[in-house]
Amino acid sequence: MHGQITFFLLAAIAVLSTVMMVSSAKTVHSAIFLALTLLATSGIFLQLRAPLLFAAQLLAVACLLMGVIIFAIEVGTADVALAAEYSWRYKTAGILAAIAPALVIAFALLQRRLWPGEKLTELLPRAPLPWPLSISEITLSFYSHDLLPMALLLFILLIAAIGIGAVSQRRA
Amino acid sequence: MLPIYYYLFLSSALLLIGIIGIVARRNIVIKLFSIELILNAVIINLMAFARVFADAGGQTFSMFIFAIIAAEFFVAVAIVAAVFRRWQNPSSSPAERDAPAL
Repeated sequence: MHGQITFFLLAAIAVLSTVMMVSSAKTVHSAIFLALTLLATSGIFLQLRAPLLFAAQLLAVACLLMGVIIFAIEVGTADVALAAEYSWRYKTAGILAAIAPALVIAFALLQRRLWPGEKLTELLPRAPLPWPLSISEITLSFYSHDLLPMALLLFILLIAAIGIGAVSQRRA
Repeated sequence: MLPIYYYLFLSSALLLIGIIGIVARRNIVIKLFSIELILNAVIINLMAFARVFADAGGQTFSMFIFAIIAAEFFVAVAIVAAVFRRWQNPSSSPAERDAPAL
């Protein structure tokens, strides 16, 4: 009964703040309502016994608010034109970031030919895990069964970080 | 645990409102927020099914989606900031972008 009430409360907050987010005229208000939605859904994750996701969602809310603040500062001091060209450092970083995932994918595709006996990119058998999952079990899963997607994901994040630097580069 | 259709109704409501936000609003920041919302609805779905089937895959996959959301959000915010600096207007419509500054 308590679980049901909590769920309905959180769901109502999530849906109402989502409606407010879409209908808000000001972007900052939309961002605040989105943060409220994310907070409500993080409560639902906690109800589903996913503490790691709950923590990640809270971090996402914090990052969202930080992003909005940075955006507000950026827009508030918008007195410069879009950068016409990037420095050689950004070009080199971009090329390296593009080569790295290409190497990983090539390695995954060619490993059977290069080392026929080895099964380096074969997925390990997934053992049944008890529920609720502990954080250590999920982390173990990242570094065993889900290692290859994890590596690709980290490359995507690297590219994203370089993209942010490249796009938001200022030219005084 | 609550019945799974509670979670499915919630996630479909969030998904629909997110789609409305993408289609109806012209502000690209709100479009971006709507995409975040849709991905959040996907995560709720994944988590509900992971809980029902007691499978770790849903939770791990949700973490991957979280990382993608983070990457997408910050790149998009940087792009929006660049667009704003260029046109002084975050609208996705060229006609509105060429309008006088805010």
